Amino acid sequence: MEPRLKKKEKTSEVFEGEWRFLQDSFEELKNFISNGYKVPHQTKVNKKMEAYTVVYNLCTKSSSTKGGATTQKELYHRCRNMIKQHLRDNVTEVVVDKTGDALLLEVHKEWKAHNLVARWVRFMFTYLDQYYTIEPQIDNLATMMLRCFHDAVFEKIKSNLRNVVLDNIESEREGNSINQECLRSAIWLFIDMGMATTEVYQEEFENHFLTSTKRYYERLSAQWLGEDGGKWAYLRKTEARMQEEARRADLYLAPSTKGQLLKTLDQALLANCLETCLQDPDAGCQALLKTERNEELGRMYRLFSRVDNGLSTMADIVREYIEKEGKTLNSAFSTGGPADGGEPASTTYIKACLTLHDKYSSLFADYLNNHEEFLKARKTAFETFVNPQQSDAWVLKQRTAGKDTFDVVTASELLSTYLDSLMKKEIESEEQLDSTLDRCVTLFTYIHDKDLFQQFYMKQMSRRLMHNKNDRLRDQERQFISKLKMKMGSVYTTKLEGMLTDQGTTEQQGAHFRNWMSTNDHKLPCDFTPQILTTGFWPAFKHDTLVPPPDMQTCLAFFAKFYDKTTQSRKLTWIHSLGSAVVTKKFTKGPREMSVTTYQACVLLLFNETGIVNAKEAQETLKLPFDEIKRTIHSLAYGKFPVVKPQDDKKTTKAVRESDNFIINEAFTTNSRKFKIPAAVKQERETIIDTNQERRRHVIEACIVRIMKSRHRLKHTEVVTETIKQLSHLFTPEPRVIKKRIEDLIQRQYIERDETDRNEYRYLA
Amino acid sequence: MADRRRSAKQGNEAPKDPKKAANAAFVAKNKPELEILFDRYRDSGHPEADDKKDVMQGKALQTLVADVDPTKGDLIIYILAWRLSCSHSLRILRAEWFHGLTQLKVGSQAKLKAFILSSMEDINNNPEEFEDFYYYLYDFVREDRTQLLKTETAVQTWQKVLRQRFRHLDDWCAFLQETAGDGEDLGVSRDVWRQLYDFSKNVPALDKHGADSAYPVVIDDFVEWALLKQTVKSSKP
Repeated sequence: MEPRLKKKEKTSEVFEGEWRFLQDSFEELKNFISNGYKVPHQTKVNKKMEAYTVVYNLCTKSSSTKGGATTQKELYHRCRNMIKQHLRDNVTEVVVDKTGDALLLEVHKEWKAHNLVARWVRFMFTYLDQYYTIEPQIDNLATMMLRCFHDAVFEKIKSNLRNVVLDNIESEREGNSINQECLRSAIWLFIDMGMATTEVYQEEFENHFLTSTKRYYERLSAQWLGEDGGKWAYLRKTEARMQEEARRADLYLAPSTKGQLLKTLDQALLANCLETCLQDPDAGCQALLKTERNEELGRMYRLFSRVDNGLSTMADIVREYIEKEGKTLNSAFSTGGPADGGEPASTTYIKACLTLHDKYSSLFADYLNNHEEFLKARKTAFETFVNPQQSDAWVLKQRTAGKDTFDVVTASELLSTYLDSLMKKEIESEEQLDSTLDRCVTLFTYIHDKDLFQQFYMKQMSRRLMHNKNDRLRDQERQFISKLKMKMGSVYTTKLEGMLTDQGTTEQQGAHFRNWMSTNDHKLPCDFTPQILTTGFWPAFKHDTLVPPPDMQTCLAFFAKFYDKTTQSRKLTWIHSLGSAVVTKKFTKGPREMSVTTYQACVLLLFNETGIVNAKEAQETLKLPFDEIKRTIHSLAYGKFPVVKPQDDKKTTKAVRESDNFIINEAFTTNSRKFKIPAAVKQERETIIDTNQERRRHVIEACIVRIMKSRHRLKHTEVVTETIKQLSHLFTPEPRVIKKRIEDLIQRQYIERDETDRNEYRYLA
Repeated sequence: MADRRRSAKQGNEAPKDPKKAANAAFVAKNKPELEILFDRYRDSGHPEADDKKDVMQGKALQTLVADVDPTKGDLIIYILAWRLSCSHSLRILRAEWFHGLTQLKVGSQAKLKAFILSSMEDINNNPEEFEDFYYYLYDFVREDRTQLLKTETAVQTWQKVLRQRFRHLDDWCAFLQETAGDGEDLGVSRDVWRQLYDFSKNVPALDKHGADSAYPVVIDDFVEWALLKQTVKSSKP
């Protein structure tokens, strides 16, 4: 029995002895801290090792594990008490009394010291951490240290500390400088006190911080808005503040706070005054657009993209503005007088539209990140003003030729006319042409009646191809058609391509024809080049009744023979209204070469037979309608180049009557040897528009029948929506028109109404 | 002559079923009177040509109306025609007269009158009957069956037939006359005729009518026109 007791005593004696050593070490440590850490490094290390060894020996010396366990436990508890006591005696009192910045400083100091102590303790009592504290319910040393500090110090000062921190932050916001290091350590204290959870940080600090931040910025926002001219600088200031807060968060807040902090700012500075900022007449979005302050717009975009509905509101304003600008263009066109610089009004208008579009392209790309809201806004805006309804105020109008009334014009017509003028000239730079065509195609996509555009373009292109045999020009045409094809699909462009192919075939045929003529020893009375048009591709032309003079007829006959030989079962119909000729005449002042239309040429050739030509006789010989004769003679006699004049010199009116006689104007002269006599152009646009309307009716009907055939029974509203959907790529049919077509189809017994549900239609096979 | 016809009929036909027998009996009994009736009415119409002797039209019909109930006007004719399933516009053929009245067992003038009046009751009370009658009317009043019903005729007929049933009848007729005066009179299609009745049933108040409804375009236009008139009226002091 005795030896055992002795052992125990001995153990405890040793224990106490060692414990005292540890306590002394701790005291040394405290002194060392309070003396400002002025101890040589090696001393520190030695001390630490000594203490560590002591602990280690104590723990391992016990013979039985049970004994070891108790030693460890004892050590742990004693250590903890020691720390607690130390804190109670030395730290708490010092700290609790302080307020304001002094508190901050003191906390910073004590916390730093405590961390150092914790490190030492952890090192000295490492053994405990390895064997004793691995039990889950026992705090490891680090946690124990934190808990001691928490209970002894933190609990008592946390609200004061928090208030000091918040005050400091606000002070810094006002522009003062503060002790950032202390602040940071204070905030991190909150974080650490959570002991691996963020609860303490959030509850004790973060929530209060966010609330005070919100209040602060709300106040600031109101103040800024209230200032004179404050709205100008508002966004700039907001952005600056946001950057500042971001920096602050990085500098001394927990990483998790940054996101919420910025969100709070968004709410306080941006969301609350979304409308005010954007709609402000002086500094709002519209004003910026007007004055083209793109940088500011960029900032507006950056900031409002952070807020719900921010961008959509902004995009809405952009759309309205673009729409307004577009409508102004429309009005300018409608009321415009003679075009400036001799440019036709259509060109001015289209060019203006393209410029408008480009202006926003650069804005969107450079400053607004090409965000889809804005692209959509521009698209909607363009679609609105480019497709006005008849009843809208901004509808496009132009003066009817020769009358005082106004015709409604569509953008499709104007675009086609613009392209017409473009295609007639050779454009030097390929790039420029390419980019212009691209922009035209973009504009084209906004137009709703694409089918009308097709009709106009076809008509104008056919005329271009007829009169211009230039290869380069043909390439330009091809370029545009390929772009159009990419957008609309090949069905839309088959006819146009067909026309171009015909041009190629014409050349080939022409060469073959000449060969054939020479091999067969035929001679043409005059130089003759036929142009072959495949009927389906080219727009419909009126049947020609012209009886050409014998020379021409010989040429035509030869060609007909040749063509018959080289192709099978094809019918040739001559369309003289499209032809052109070169007529030479020796005037008194010298010979002249005149480029004229076939009709004009025929009339001129009449003068070969007789010196005086009577209008009525001309009609009878040439077998043309009198209107046509009138127009032709008018262009020869009263145009820019009057090669023909009325026999009666005293004739005052420029109208051509049946009884009028005409003679060649022998005294005619002009500067150039070769010139073109323009022929009167018929007003065709109405026919194009009317035929298009007619065509649309058929297209709608075909579509309805198609839909009904596949679905058999369908409700009225569904028929309408389906029809609109299927035809949307060509034009937008009105529901009313569709309804009328449905009624017509009922009348013609293609479909019928259901007996029980009058809203439903049934397909009749 | 009537006797000979009667006996011939009795001799030649062996009635195959009770219905035919009944018919035959009926015919035998009442044919003379029906014939007299028919001739009387026909004559009051003063037919000019001989080939008109088997047709009751024009004034003849008016006389019939006067006989039955002058207050109801052309409605009498319409109802009778409908019941007799007359296939020609605005006239009753002798064959139809006989065949129809025989089927309906109407043998005398008194019975005719009673029959017509009871049919009128029928129509008023039974919506299905009315619909049938109304649909039939389109073809009966359409003089030229190759074309659409003339607007004027349609308006007149509507005035007689839809009097109690269509609240906006007067407005509707005014509207049609106004727009018909603008351009060419396209006429009223069967679809419009039918849908108008539907419209009168289902759309009591004009603003309940939706623009995306399946009613014909002309009805849509009418609603627009009527609403406009209403607002103008209400805005006047």
